[in-house]
Amino acid sequence: MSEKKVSNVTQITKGIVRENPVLRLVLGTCPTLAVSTSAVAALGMGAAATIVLICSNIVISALRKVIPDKVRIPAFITIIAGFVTMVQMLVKAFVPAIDESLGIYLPLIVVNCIILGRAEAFACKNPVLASACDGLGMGIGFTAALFLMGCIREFLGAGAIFGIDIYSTVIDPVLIFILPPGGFFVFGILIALVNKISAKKGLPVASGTGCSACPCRSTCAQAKLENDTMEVTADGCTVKEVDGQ
Amino acid sequence: MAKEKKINVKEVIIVTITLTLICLITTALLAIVNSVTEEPIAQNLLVAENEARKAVVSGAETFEERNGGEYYEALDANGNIIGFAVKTSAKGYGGDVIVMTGFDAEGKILKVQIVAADDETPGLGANIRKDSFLDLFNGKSGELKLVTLSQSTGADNEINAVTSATYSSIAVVDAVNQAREIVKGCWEVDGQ
Amino acid sequence: MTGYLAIFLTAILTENFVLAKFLGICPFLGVSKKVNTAVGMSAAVIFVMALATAVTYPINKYLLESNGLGYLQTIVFILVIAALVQLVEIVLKKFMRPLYNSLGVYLPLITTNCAVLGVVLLNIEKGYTFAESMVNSVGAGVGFLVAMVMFAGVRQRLENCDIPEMFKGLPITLVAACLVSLSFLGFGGMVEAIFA
Repeated sequence: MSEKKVSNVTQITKGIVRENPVLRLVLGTCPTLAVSTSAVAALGMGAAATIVLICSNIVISALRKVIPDKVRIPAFITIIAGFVTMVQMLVKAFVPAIDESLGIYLPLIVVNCIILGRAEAFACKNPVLASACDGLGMGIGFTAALFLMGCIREFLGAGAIFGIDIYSTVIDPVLIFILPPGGFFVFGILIALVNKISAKKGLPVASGTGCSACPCRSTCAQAKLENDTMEVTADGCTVKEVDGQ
Repeated sequence: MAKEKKINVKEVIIVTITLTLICLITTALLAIVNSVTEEPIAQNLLVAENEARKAVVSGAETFEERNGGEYYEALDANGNIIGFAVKTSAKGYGGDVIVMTGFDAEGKILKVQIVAADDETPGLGANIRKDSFLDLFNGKSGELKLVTLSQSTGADNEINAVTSATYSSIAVVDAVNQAREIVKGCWEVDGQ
Repeated sequence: MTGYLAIFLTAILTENFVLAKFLGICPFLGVSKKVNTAVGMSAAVIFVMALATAVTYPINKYLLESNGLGYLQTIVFILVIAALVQLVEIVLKKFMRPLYNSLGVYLPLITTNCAVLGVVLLNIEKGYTFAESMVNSVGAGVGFLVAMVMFAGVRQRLENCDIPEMFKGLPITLVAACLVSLSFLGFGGMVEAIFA
């Protein structure tokens, strides 16, 4: 944070490109891979996650002085789970088609590390409006990346976009793209492209597995494990030590 | 680390109360949202079920539950039985394939629809949803048998499997045969 | 008995949590650099999955569903799992030091792992009985282990390869994951064929 005052517009835009949660920070990989089989499912997932992200960011930011530091993680999880359940019920009631296409991944937004990550890295330190903007930006960034994946996979794998058939009657589409391996493949290629563009612009590339960039690394011991294997020192993150060793 | 060994009673109480409060408020809010959405959700399910039944027995006005929901009698506007709708499921390639089958009053299949086949492979097994496969069932009666293209003899009770989706196809045929078993009694009695 | 075996094999091979359902991708990509860390992590996952199922199944059946509180599932489960993992960690640390030394480090990272919450929710969605749920959970955990160990092997080979600059790091890992996942597609239908 070099500049003292960051405008709210920048808070929104940074999440979309510079700090895109999926392609630059490599967070929330599970839903990115799982529900990007079609453009519509991707949009539904993105919208649901964005709503949860904005709401939880606002509430956590508003309560940031009330929540005791020691129990902030359980408190955050409770708040996030509450919003996820609300969104889940509303989606079931009013847009059942989306509920059907997202299935179990809808309640699993709870454990989407983007949301807990933003709560931990941003909302618990910043005022309400800035947190809301951050949530919106990150949400849009997540949705955009998911949508991009969804379009690519649906176009190549099913020969359609938004369920509208484009070429599958003429040429058989490459089915593998909407099967699980295709998810890994398209995601890998996208990250590679983003890395190339980042390198050209002199930005740091998305590293390792995203843990070094992950804002939850202070609470998630995975960062420590990774650092152990890579022999890089963690920058002051407090992970439980195995004492007596 | 050593400092934290001593438990600060006041802090423990504050922490407990805050967490409890957060949980209580969240739950209360959830209860409110639930009370709003409960009815539309139940309604959606009913509507979806009814739509699926209507889709397999066209021309039916109302459906009458029989045997505690095991099957439904389709009634036309005058209250005459014009057919039956049965929901059955069978194990497919991934998970269960749920199928709605419509029979006419003589036991001929009117139409077969897939209610849910979420775990079937997209692009392969999921092709059982296509009309080109489901239309094969129309007008059939008696126990059905699934055959691949090379096994086909042209017999009346044969259903050609979807290419490279034999397991998913078997599931549909199984489910339809189960459905017939359930409602078989209805027309065999009526027919005599 | 065959029913349980079918559930178990399905969970490991055809419905593999990591490679077919995309649950638990973070640890799959993060902790699979070495085979021994992969095994340790997976052992902890199997342990926590079984434990979480054993605890959440009765909670769901006797506390939530019987009182019409099914909508609280997500929130209750995630808190129960988080508390459970903490508790297990404390108990292990105190009374079972050897086990703690081998699993301890991995425990906190699975608290908010989507695979654990995922298996618990899937058990309920599929309407499994208690025994079936346990079999499915252990199977899912073993499937995680299989995927992790295989992938760790693949990654160790990758280390000595000359990879294009833009693919270094995560991209090539994902492409490798794609190939491992492709090999698991081959198991499709196998379980049904055995028990048909």
